[in-house]
Amino acid sequence: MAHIEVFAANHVVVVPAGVGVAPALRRRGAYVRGGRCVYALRTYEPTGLVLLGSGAARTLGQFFDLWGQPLDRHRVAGFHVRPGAGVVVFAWGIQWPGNPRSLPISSDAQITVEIGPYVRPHARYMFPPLESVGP
Amino acid sequence: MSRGDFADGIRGISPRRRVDLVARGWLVIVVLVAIVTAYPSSAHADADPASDVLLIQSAFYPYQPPVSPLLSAALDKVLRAAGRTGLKLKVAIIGSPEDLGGVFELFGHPQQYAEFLDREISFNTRQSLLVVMPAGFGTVATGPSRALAGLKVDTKHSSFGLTRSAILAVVALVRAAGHAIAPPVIPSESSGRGGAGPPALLLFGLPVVLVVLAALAVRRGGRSSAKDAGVSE
Repeated sequence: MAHIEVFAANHVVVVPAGVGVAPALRRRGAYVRGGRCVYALRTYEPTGLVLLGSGAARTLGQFFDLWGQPLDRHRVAGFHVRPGAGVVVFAWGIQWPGNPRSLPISSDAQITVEIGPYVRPHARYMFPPLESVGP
Repeated sequence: MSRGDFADGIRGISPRRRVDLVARGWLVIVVLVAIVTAYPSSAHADADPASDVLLIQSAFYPYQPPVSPLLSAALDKVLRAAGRTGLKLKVAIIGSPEDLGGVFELFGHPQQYAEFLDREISFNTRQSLLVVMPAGFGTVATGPSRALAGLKVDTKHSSFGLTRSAILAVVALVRAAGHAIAPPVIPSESSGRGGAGPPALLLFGLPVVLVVLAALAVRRGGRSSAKDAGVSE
Protein backbone atom coordinates (compact mmCIF):
# COMPACT_ATOMS: atom_id res chain seq x y z
CA MET A 1 0.00 0.00 0.00
CA ALA A 2 1.18 3.55 -0.75
CA HIS A 3 -0.27 7.02 -0.19
CA ILE A 4 -0.36 9.72 -2.86
CA GLU A 5 -1.42 13.33 -2.34
CA VAL A 6 -1.56 16.02 -5.00
CA PHE A 7 -1.43 19.79 -4.47
CA ALA A 8 -1.88 22.25 -7.30
CA ALA A 9 -2.29 26.03 -7.20
CA ASN A 10 -3.31 26.03 -3.54
CA HIS A 11 -5.82 23.27 -4.16
CA VAL A 12 -5.95 19.74 -2.87
CA VAL A 13 -6.56 17.44 -5.83
CA VAL A 14 -8.49 14.45 -4.54
CA VAL A 15 -7.31 11.10 -5.88
CA PRO A 16 -10.65 9.37 -6.46
CA ALA A 17 -11.81 5.89 -5.51
CA GLY A 18 -11.91 3.44 -8.41
CA VAL A 19 -8.61 4.20 -10.15
CA GLY A 20 -7.36 0.90 -11.59
CA VAL A 21 -10.74 -0.80 -11.12
CA ALA A 22 -12.60 -1.65 -14.32
CA PRO A 23 -16.31 -0.75 -14.56
CA ALA A 24 -18.99 -1.49 -13.67
CA LEU A 25 -17.93 -0.20 -10.26
CA ARG A 26 -19.79 -1.24 -7.12
CA ARG A 27 -19.97 1.86 -4.91
CA ARG A 28 -20.94 2.43 -1.30
CA GLY A 29 -20.81 6.07 -0.23
CA ALA A 30 -17.34 7.42 -0.84
CA TYR A 31 -15.92 3.94 -1.38
CA VAL A 32 -15.64 1.54 -4.30
CA ARG A 33 -16.28 -2.07 -3.27
CA GLY A 34 -15.33 -3.79 -6.49
CA GLY A 35 -15.52 -3.91 -10.24
CA ARG A 36 -15.15 -6.25 -13.19
CA CYS A 37 -11.39 -6.61 -12.68
CA VAL A 38 -8.49 -4.70 -11.18
CA TYR A 39 -5.05 -3.49 -12.20
CA ALA A 40 -1.83 -3.77 -10.19
CA LEU A 41 -2.33 -0.20 -8.93
CA ARG A 42 -5.80 0.62 -7.64
CA THR A 43 -7.75 2.79 -5.23
CA TYR A 44 -10.92 1.87 -3.34
CA GLU A 45 -11.33 5.11 -1.40
CA PRO A 46 -10.82 8.81 -2.16
CA THR A 47 -8.05 9.18 0.43
CA GLY A 48 -4.97 8.69 -1.73
CA LEU A 49 -4.39 5.15 -0.47
CA VAL A 50 -3.18 3.00 -3.37
CA LEU A 51 -3.15 -0.78 -3.22
CA LEU A 52 -0.22 -2.46 -4.94
CA GLY A 53 -0.66 -5.80 -6.63
CA SER A 54 2.12 -8.21 -7.42
CA GLY A 55 4.04 -7.94 -10.66
CA ALA A 56 6.51 -5.66 -12.36
CA ALA A 57 7.79 -2.39 -10.93
CA ARG A 58 5.19 0.35 -10.77
CA THR A 59 5.73 4.04 -11.28
CA LEU A 60 3.86 7.25 -10.60
CA GLY A 61 3.44 7.73 -14.35
CA GLN A 62 1.63 4.38 -14.63
CA PHE A 63 -0.70 5.38 -11.80
CA PHE A 64 -1.62 8.66 -13.49
CA ASP A 65 -2.18 6.77 -16.76
CA LEU A 66 -4.65 4.46 -15.00
CA TRP A 67 -6.29 7.52 -13.43
CA GLY A 68 -6.58 9.09 -16.87
CA GLN A 69 -4.86 12.31 -15.79
CA PRO A 70 -1.73 13.85 -17.28
CA LEU A 71 1.55 13.90 -15.38
CA ASP A 72 4.81 15.20 -16.75
CA ARG A 73 7.37 17.85 -15.84
CA HIS A 74 4.90 20.66 -16.56
CA ARG A 75 1.40 19.27 -15.95
CA VAL A 76 -0.50 17.54 -13.16
CA ALA A 77 -4.13 16.51 -13.51
CA GLY A 78 -5.22 19.50 -15.59
CA PHE A 79 -3.00 22.05 -13.82
CA HIS A 80 -0.07 23.62 -15.68
CA VAL A 81 3.02 25.00 -13.97
CA ARG A 82 4.01 28.62 -14.38
CA PRO A 83 6.86 29.39 -16.80
CA GLY A 84 10.22 28.55 -15.28
CA ALA A 85 8.70 26.24 -12.68
CA GLY A 86 8.23 22.48 -12.70
CA VAL A 87 6.30 19.65 -11.14
CA VAL A 88 7.93 18.67 -7.85
CA VAL A 89 7.58 15.19 -6.42
CA PHE A 90 8.53 13.99 -2.95
CA ALA A 91 8.78 10.51 -1.48
CA TRP A 92 8.86 10.31 2.31
CA GLY A 93 9.41 14.08 2.31
CA ILE A 94 12.53 13.90 0.12
CA GLN A 95 12.47 15.50 -3.31
CA TRP A 96 12.72 13.10 -6.26
CA PRO A 97 15.40 14.43 -8.62
CA GLY A 98 14.22 12.71 -11.79
CA ASN A 99 11.22 12.80 -14.07
CA PRO A 100 8.01 12.72 -11.95
CA ARG A 101 6.67 9.87 -14.07
CA SER A 102 9.59 7.61 -13.22
CA LEU A 103 9.18 7.75 -9.42
CA PRO A 104 8.75 4.14 -8.25
CA ILE A 105 5.68 3.42 -6.12
CA SER A 106 6.84 1.06 -3.43
CA SER A 107 5.10 -0.36 -0.41
CA ASP A 108 4.56 2.16 2.40
CA ALA A 109 5.64 5.06 0.18
CA GLN A 110 4.29 8.50 1.12
CA ILE A 111 4.29 10.45 -2.14
CA THR A 112 3.49 14.14 -2.61
CA VAL A 113 3.06 15.77 -6.01
CA GLU A 114 3.09 19.58 -6.17
CA ILE A 115 3.09 22.32 -8.75
CA GLY A 116 3.27 25.11 -6.21
CA PRO A 117 2.98 26.98 -4.07
CA TYR A 118 5.10 24.85 -1.79
CA VAL A 119 3.26 22.67 0.72
CA ARG A 120 5.47 20.96 3.28
CA PRO A 121 5.36 17.29 2.28
CA HIS A 122 4.68 14.60 4.83
CA ALA A 123 7.56 12.32 5.61
CA ARG A 124 5.33 9.65 7.16
CA TYR A 125 1.87 8.23 6.79
CA MET A 126 0.36 5.75 9.22
CA PHE A 127 -1.18 3.06 7.03
CA PRO A 128 -4.26 1.08 8.11
CA PRO A 129 -4.17 -2.73 8.07
CA LEU A 130 -4.21 -4.01 4.49
CA GLU A 131 -7.35 -6.10 5.06
CA SER A 132 -9.32 -2.99 6.05
CA VAL A 133 -8.82 -1.27 2.67
CA GLY A 134 -10.78 -2.46 -0.33
CA PRO A 135 -13.63 -4.89 -0.79
CA MET B 1 16.89 45.54 17.08
CA SER B 2 14.03 47.94 17.84
CA ARG B 3 12.47 50.34 15.37
CA GLY B 4 14.42 53.22 17.05
CA ASP B 5 17.77 51.43 16.77
CA PHE B 6 17.03 50.75 13.13
CA ALA B 7 16.31 54.49 12.58
CA ASP B 8 19.50 55.60 14.47
CA GLY B 9 21.60 53.22 12.44
CA ILE B 10 20.58 54.67 9.12
CA ARG B 11 20.75 58.38 10.25
CA GLY B 12 24.47 58.80 9.50
CA ILE B 13 24.14 57.46 5.98
CA SER B 14 23.85 59.62 2.85
CA PRO B 15 20.21 60.42 1.83
CA ARG B 16 20.44 58.42 -1.42
CA ARG B 17 21.91 55.39 0.38
CA ARG B 18 19.24 55.80 3.12
CA VAL B 19 16.44 55.70 0.59
CA ASP B 20 18.00 52.57 -0.93
CA LEU B 21 18.22 50.83 2.46
CA VAL B 22 14.65 51.73 3.43
CA ALA B 23 13.41 50.46 0.08
CA ARG B 24 15.31 47.22 0.57
CA GLY B 25 13.89 46.88 4.09
CA TRP B 26 10.36 47.26 2.77
CA LEU B 27 11.12 44.79 0.01
CA VAL B 28 12.23 42.19 2.59
CA ILE B 29 9.04 42.77 4.62
CA VAL B 30 6.83 42.51 1.52
CA VAL B 31 8.56 39.28 0.42
CA LEU B 32 8.20 37.76 3.91
CA VAL B 33 4.50 38.64 4.05
CA ALA B 34 4.00 37.18 0.57
CA ILE B 35 5.70 33.92 1.55
CA VAL B 36 3.61 33.53 4.70
CA THR B 37 0.31 34.26 2.97
CA ALA B 38 1.16 32.05 0.01
CA TYR B 39 1.05 28.94 2.18
CA PRO B 40 -2.22 27.09 2.37
CA SER B 41 -4.08 27.45 5.65
CA SER B 42 -2.71 24.11 6.74
CA ALA B 43 0.61 22.67 5.71
CA HIS B 44 -0.74 19.23 6.66
CA ALA B 45 -3.66 19.47 4.24
CA ASP B 46 -5.07 16.25 2.80
CA ALA B 47 -3.04 13.91 4.97
CA ASP B 48 -6.00 12.50 6.89
CA PRO B 49 -8.52 10.14 5.26
CA ALA B 50 -11.54 11.69 6.99
CA SER B 51 -11.14 15.02 5.20
CA ASP B 52 -11.51 13.29 1.81
CA VAL B 53 -14.31 10.92 2.79
CA LEU B 54 -16.37 13.64 4.48
CA LEU B 55 -16.50 15.60 1.23
CA ILE B 56 -18.71 12.80 -0.12
CA GLN B 57 -20.52 11.30 2.88
CA SER B 58 -21.58 12.47 6.34
CA ALA B 59 -19.56 10.12 8.51
CA PHE B 60 -16.07 8.68 8.57
CA TYR B 61 -15.66 5.34 10.35
CA PRO B 62 -12.55 3.64 11.79
CA TYR B 63 -10.69 1.17 9.59
CA GLN B 64 -10.56 -1.49 12.29
CA PRO B 65 -12.67 -3.14 13.49
CA PRO B 66 -15.18 -2.29 10.75
CA VAL B 67 -18.50 -0.78 11.81
CA SER B 68 -21.49 -2.87 10.75
CA PRO B 69 -23.88 -1.55 8.09
CA LEU B 70 -26.67 -1.66 10.69
CA LEU B 71 -24.82 0.65 13.05
CA SER B 72 -23.65 3.04 10.32
CA ALA B 73 -27.25 3.16 9.07
CA ALA B 74 -28.35 4.13 12.59
CA LEU B 75 -25.85 7.01 12.64
CA ASP B 76 -26.89 8.10 9.14
CA LYS B 77 -30.53 8.14 10.25
CA VAL B 78 -29.76 10.33 13.27
CA LEU B 79 -27.65 12.66 11.11
CA ARG B 80 -30.54 13.02 8.64
CA ALA B 81 -32.90 13.80 11.53
CA ALA B 82 -30.41 16.37 12.85
CA GLY B 83 -30.19 17.89 9.37
CA ARG B 84 -33.97 18.36 9.30
CA THR B 85 -33.67 20.49 12.45
CA GLY B 86 -31.02 22.64 10.78
CA LEU B 87 -27.91 21.00 12.26
CA LYS B 88 -26.08 19.62 9.23
CA LEU B 89 -23.34 17.69 10.96
CA LYS B 90 -20.37 15.73 9.69
CA VAL B 91 -18.91 13.12 12.02
CA ALA B 92 -15.38 11.70 12.14
CA ILE B 93 -14.97 8.61 14.31
CA ILE B 94 -11.31 7.99 15.01
CA GLY B 95 -10.43 4.74 16.74
CA SER B 96 -6.66 4.60 16.26
CA PRO B 97 -3.75 6.66 14.92
CA GLU B 98 -4.07 4.80 11.59
CA ASP B 99 -7.42 6.55 11.06
CA LEU B 100 -5.52 9.85 10.94
CA GLY B 101 -2.99 8.91 8.23
CA GLY B 102 -0.37 11.64 8.06
CA VAL B 103 -1.57 13.56 11.13
CA PHE B 104 -1.42 10.60 13.50
CA GLU B 105 0.13 12.85 16.16
CA LEU B 106 -3.35 14.36 16.67
CA PHE B 107 -4.66 11.04 18.01
CA GLY B 108 -5.81 11.65 21.57
CA HIS B 109 -6.56 15.32 20.84
CA PRO B 110 -10.15 15.37 19.54
CA GLN B 111 -10.66 19.14 19.79
CA GLN B 112 -7.39 19.93 18.02
CA TYR B 113 -8.25 17.46 15.28
CA ALA B 114 -11.77 18.91 14.94
CA GLU B 115 -10.29 22.36 14.34
CA PHE B 116 -7.77 20.94 11.88
CA LEU B 117 -10.49 19.08 10.00
CA ASP B 118 -12.65 22.19 9.96
CA ARG B 119 -9.95 24.07 8.05
CA GLU B 120 -9.88 21.30 5.47
CA ILE B 121 -13.57 20.75 4.81
CA SER B 122 -15.17 24.13 5.54
CA PHE B 123 -15.38 26.35 2.49
CA ASN B 124 -17.72 29.33 2.28
CA THR B 125 -19.44 28.60 5.57
CA ARG B 126 -18.25 26.73 8.65
CA GLN B 127 -19.12 23.06 8.60
CA SER B 128 -20.65 21.73 11.82
CA LEU B 129 -18.37 18.96 12.89
CA LEU B 130 -18.21 16.27 15.56
CA VAL B 131 -15.05 14.25 16.22
CA VAL B 132 -15.21 11.16 18.41
CA MET B 133 -12.01 9.61 19.78
CA PRO B 134 -11.47 7.36 22.78
CA ALA B 135 -10.05 10.47 24.50
CA GLY B 136 -13.32 12.38 24.09
CA PHE B 137 -15.32 14.62 21.77
CA GLY B 138 -14.24 17.52 19.63
CA THR B 139 -16.72 19.95 18.07
CA VAL B 140 -16.82 22.88 15.69
CA ALA B 141 -19.88 25.07 15.11
CA THR B 142 -22.27 22.71 16.85
CA GLY B 143 -24.01 25.17 19.17
CA PRO B 144 -23.80 25.35 22.97
CA SER B 145 -20.34 24.24 24.09
CA ARG B 146 -21.69 22.45 27.21
CA ALA B 147 -23.99 20.19 25.20
CA LEU B 148 -21.73 17.15 25.53
CA ALA B 149 -20.53 17.89 29.06
CA GLY B 150 -22.37 14.97 30.64
CA LEU B 151 -21.59 12.46 27.91
CA LYS B 152 -18.66 10.05 28.06
CA VAL B 153 -17.18 8.19 25.10
CA ASP B 154 -17.65 4.42 25.30
CA THR B 155 -14.07 3.19 25.12
CA LYS B 156 -14.79 -0.43 26.07
CA HIS B 157 -16.34 -1.60 22.81
CA SER B 158 -13.92 -0.28 20.16
CA SER B 159 -15.57 0.93 16.93
CA PHE B 160 -19.03 -0.10 18.14
CA GLY B 161 -18.64 1.94 21.33
CA LEU B 162 -17.28 4.97 19.48
CA THR B 163 -20.11 4.92 16.91
CA ARG B 164 -22.72 4.47 19.63
CA SER B 165 -21.20 7.46 21.45
CA ALA B 166 -21.37 9.45 18.21
CA ILE B 167 -25.09 8.71 17.86
CA LEU B 168 -25.79 9.77 21.44
CA ALA B 169 -23.66 12.91 20.98
CA VAL B 170 -25.61 13.95 17.85
CA VAL B 171 -28.87 13.58 19.78
CA ALA B 172 -27.44 15.64 22.66
CA LEU B 173 -26.31 18.39 20.28
CA VAL B 174 -29.72 18.58 18.61
CA ARG B 175 -31.50 18.72 21.97
CA ALA B 176 -29.07 21.37 23.29
CA ALA B 177 -29.99 23.49 20.28
CA GLY B 178 -33.60 23.33 21.47
CA HIS B 179 -34.98 20.84 18.96
CA ALA B 180 -36.84 17.61 19.54
CA ILE B 181 -35.41 14.41 18.11
CA ALA B 182 -36.68 10.86 18.47
CA PRO B 183 -34.56 8.57 20.66
CA PRO B 184 -32.33 6.58 18.32
CA VAL B 185 -32.59 2.83 17.92
CA ILE B 186 -29.04 1.53 18.34
CA PRO B 187 -28.41 -2.05 17.19
CA SER B 188 -26.92 -4.36 19.79
CA GLU B 189 -23.20 -5.02 19.73
CA SER B 190 -23.70 -8.61 18.57
CA SER B 191 -25.51 -7.37 15.49
CA GLY B 192 -23.14 -4.47 15.19
CA ARG B 193 -19.83 -6.32 15.30
CA GLY B 194 -17.86 -7.44 12.27
CA GLY B 195 -20.33 -6.11 9.78
CA ALA B 196 -18.35 -7.33 6.81
CA GLY B 197 -18.44 -10.99 7.92
CA PRO B 198 -21.24 -13.54 7.52
CA PRO B 199 -24.00 -13.76 10.16
CA ALA B 200 -23.31 -16.10 13.08
CA LEU B 201 -26.23 -18.39 12.13
CA LEU B 202 -24.76 -18.88 8.67
CA LEU B 203 -21.24 -19.30 10.02
CA PHE B 204 -22.07 -22.02 12.54
CA GLY B 205 -25.30 -23.42 11.12
CA LEU B 206 -24.03 -24.10 7.60
CA PRO B 207 -21.37 -26.66 8.59
CA VAL B 208 -23.96 -28.54 10.71
CA VAL B 209 -26.42 -28.61 7.80
CA LEU B 210 -23.66 -29.83 5.46
CA VAL B 211 -22.69 -32.65 7.84
CA VAL B 212 -26.33 -33.78 8.15
CA LEU B 213 -26.78 -33.70 4.37
CA ALA B 214 -23.56 -35.67 3.88
CA ALA B 215 -24.69 -38.29 6.42
CA LEU B 216 -28.06 -38.64 4.65
CA ALA B 217 -26.32 -38.99 1.29
CA VAL B 218 -24.01 -41.70 2.61
CA ARG B 219 -26.96 -43.56 4.15
CA ARG B 220 -28.96 -43.33 0.92
CA GLY B 221 -25.91 -44.38 -1.10
CA GLY B 222 -25.46 -47.41 1.15
CA ARG B 223 -29.10 -48.46 0.67
CA SER B 224 -28.90 -48.12 -3.14
CA SER B 225 -25.67 -50.13 -3.21
CA ALA B 226 -27.32 -52.86 -1.21
CA LYS B 227 -30.36 -52.77 -3.52
CA ASP B 228 -28.08 -52.83 -6.59
CA ALA B 229 -26.21 -55.73 -5.10
CA GLY B 230 -29.52 -57.55 -4.55
CA VAL B 231 -30.61 -57.05 -8.18
CA SER B 232 -27.37 -58.36 -9.58
CA GLU B 233 -27.61 -61.43 -7.50
